[in-house]
Amino acid sequence: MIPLIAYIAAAALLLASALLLIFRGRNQATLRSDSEREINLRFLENPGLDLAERIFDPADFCWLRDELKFPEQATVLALQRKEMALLWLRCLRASFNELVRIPQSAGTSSENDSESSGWATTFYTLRFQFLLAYAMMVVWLFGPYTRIAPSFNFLRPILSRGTHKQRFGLRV
Amino acid sequence: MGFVQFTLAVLGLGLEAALILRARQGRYLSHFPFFYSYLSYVFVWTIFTLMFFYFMPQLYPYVYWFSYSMMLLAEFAVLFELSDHIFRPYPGIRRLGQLLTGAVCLAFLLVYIIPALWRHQPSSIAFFELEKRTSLTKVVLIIVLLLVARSFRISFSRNISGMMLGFAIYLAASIANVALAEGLGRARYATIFSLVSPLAYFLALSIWTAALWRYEPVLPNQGNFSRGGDNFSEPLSVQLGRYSSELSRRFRR
Repeated sequence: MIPLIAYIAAAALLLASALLLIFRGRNQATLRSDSEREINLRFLENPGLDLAERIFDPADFCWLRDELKFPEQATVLALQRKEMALLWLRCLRASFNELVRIPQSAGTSSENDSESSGWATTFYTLRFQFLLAYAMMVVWLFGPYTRIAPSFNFLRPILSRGTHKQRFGLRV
Repeated sequence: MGFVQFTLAVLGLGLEAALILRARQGRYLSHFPFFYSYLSYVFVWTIFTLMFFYFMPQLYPYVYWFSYSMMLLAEFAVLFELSDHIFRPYPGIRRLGQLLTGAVCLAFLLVYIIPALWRHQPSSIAFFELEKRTSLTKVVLIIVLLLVARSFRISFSRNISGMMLGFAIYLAASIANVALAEGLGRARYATIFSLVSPLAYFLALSIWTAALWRYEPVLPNQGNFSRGGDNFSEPLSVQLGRYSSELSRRFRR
């Protein structure tokens, strides 16, 4: 009886989700104006990307905590920066999606289009989305001053050890 | 086959013929080749099965189940086509529909469908299992496609929405119907079982007829803006790759 109920519930749930998503998808285009899209796209240019340097830079936080000795204020600053970092990441995703959504006919030559229509663009899009989702998770869990991409510096000594003979001072 | 089933089959034939003729008249058959091939297939096989039912009833079950199992497979091809149509106008994610369809189908095939077929069980039960599991796979695929499209804020045309909606209703009804037949016992549930599937298919056909009566091309959100301002002439793949690398570089600091 449990599989029966589970299957019927799954069918009902899936149908309800499909209905909801289809009706929302029909009205998606009316949500944004051209100027909004333009602003979104401008976010991907250097000023938008440079903003991240300031948000993710821990210098202010360290100065407040270590030099001025205000650890509480430093914590408040870190929390505010965390919100800003998450907002910045969400804006970046929206801007990137806007770029991805630009249709074929809006300003590219046919040569460029054929080149960009392949799997490479899909790969870049997916890589960007995964990276962004991971970054949002890390910022949300550990704050904006955590190193987002893990460092592989600990591998450096192992990789640069050379051959067995070199390590023991023997001639190769 | 009762009166209701026969009536539904005849009405279904009428709607299928209307859909195909309308698309032929409007010259948009080629826009959805798999979908119209699927409809033509169902149309032809419905006539065949009706003929077998009245003139060679001993062969009817074999013909019916053969055509039905082919239909189950053909539906995957239609969903593949639909997934392609959703993302096709956007060069940056043009292949995403194909990728998602392939990934979902392969994952469900390996983890969910094939293990059920390996079990020792009578062929009729195995067929029910196959129908239930393939239908669930298709509905999950529809949900995944819709969710991903929503995350990119992609809007659907009337044609695509109608086709998705029709399939979702028909497949969800199939899952519930087969689950009920297995749970309550096929003998006890036989009368309702033989009604639900044709009824759900007829409902789906009605939705498809309304949605595909007129061809509505997908109109991506066009605006008077360039791609990333100064990078107007840069191919999209280069831009996407650059942003992706830039993000990785910044996060590695």
